[in-house]
Amino acid sequence: MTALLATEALSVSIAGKNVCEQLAFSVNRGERWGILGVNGVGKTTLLHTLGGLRSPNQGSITYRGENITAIPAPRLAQQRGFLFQDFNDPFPSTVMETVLIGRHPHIKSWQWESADDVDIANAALAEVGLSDLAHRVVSTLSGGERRRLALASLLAQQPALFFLDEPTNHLDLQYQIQMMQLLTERARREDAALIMILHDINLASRFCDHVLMLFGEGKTAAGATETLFTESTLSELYRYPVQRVDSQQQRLFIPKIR
Amino acid sequence: MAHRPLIILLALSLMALVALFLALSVGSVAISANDFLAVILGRGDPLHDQIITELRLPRALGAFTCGGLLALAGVLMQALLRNPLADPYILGISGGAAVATLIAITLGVSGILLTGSAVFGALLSMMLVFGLAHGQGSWTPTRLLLTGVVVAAGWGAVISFLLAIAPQKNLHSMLFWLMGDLSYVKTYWPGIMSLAFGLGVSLIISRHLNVLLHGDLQASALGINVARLRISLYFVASLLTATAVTIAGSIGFIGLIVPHLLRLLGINDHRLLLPSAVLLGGALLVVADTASRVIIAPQQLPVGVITAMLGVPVFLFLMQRSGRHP
Repeated sequence: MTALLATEALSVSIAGKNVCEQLAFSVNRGERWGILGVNGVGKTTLLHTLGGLRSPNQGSITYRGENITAIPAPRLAQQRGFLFQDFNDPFPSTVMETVLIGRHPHIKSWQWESADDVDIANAALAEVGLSDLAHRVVSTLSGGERRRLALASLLAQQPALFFLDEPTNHLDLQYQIQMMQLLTERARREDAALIMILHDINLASRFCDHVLMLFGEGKTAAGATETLFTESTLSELYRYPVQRVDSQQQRLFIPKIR
Repeated sequence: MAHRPLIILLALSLMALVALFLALSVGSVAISANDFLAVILGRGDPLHDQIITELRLPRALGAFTCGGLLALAGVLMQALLRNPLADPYILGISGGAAVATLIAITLGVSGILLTGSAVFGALLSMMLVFGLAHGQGSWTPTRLLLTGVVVAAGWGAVISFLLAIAPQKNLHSMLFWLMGDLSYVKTYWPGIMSLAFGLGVSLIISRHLNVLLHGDLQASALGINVARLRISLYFVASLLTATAVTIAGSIGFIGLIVPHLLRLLGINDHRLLLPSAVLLGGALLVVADTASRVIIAPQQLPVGVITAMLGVPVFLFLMQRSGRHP
């Protein structure tokens, strides 16, 4: 089976800073990848590069064996979707209108949304628990509700590859777990893959089966969470001593008290 | 729910027709509905016929076109700059046209050459802002907005200078032109054609505009070539504004207020917003222009004064009532 996404000799830099050098890794259907690293190491830059929003300095990215530069933008948008860190909307629009934005790549420019599109949007709203707010104006929603709305938009886009920039941003503990479970379930059900930037080591440990670590100055490590999540690697990654604590059901990683 | 767009467009079309009827029948010679009907059927009083077809109709259609152009350009500029405060004049197009026209008036030019200089000034300003904002590096809304605002301020200074040194006899026509004036409209076909062209082009990209309002990143993630869309928007919006300015000078408020009035009524989808803006903008300017020629008849007021007097209170009222930011 060809990988959903694969990189070869990928080098990315931003403002003279190396994010990754000669990176080769692949993401298969059903996998959940976490991108980890300290602030400013270039996680978002790499995520945008992998999703085709900016060009790499060197190397190639392929989706199902096809070079990303050869895929026209509208078709690319049917294959991969983004959840961005923040979104601001200076103009009013309703919750429903915002979810339907996700259907844009699937509708020809002269067509209107079909009944199917509306059904998909309603299903997405139901998944994130916003069905009751469908006709509300977005500016009246709370930060957490907007985050879930952005996710609903992405779900309506129905991509095979989900690029998620800090998906749990602005969310309470309960919704953090809910969102991660929802994404996990979605990846399993649709055989999709998740690539997400996470700040919480323990969320990554629990919900990601693979991780891509950015150590800075181009150094990276990619592989199974099981093997890469050790005290020494995490301490190096976060430039701060991390301690492993095993509770009954799960292992936890916490910052050591120095 | 499914018929809502149709109902809105029908209501606005009706409104536009009523406004046009008003413009054709009201004036120093009042024409009753019966006489009006007779003229349409070709059995009217020759005097009424002449007043309507030669004087009032070109002016009313000119006003409708101009209002439609401004409202359409307003919606497009707001999407281009992702800024609710943008209006068609924000990037200095009317300033460039005004400077060129005022220089032409100072030089004693009139008629078609005056229109020509307005076109020239508008295009010059358009290319200037485009070139400067493009420069090197990225073409962001902020950079474009800053360039446009600064260039507009520059034109403003030149306008003040020209007014300061203008001989007394030119001052009145200069001021009238600056505040917008529809009394020189003779032909309306070029305006109507560019309005139809502008509306057609923007309807094709209207769903793209819905996406663009959610930000550049979101738009490119959804498969839109943002740079290309922005450049097309810039040129379409600028050309529409330039056309409106050459028809009637700079008429304020229509381009800013009409898009917001419609948004306050809950019309956010550009596929409905664009045609609605054309109808409402056109109707409003027809009403304002009719008012401008009857309020202190036989004298005329600059129509820009009326649009502001009508637009500001209506806008503030709707904003208060809806209680959400525009």
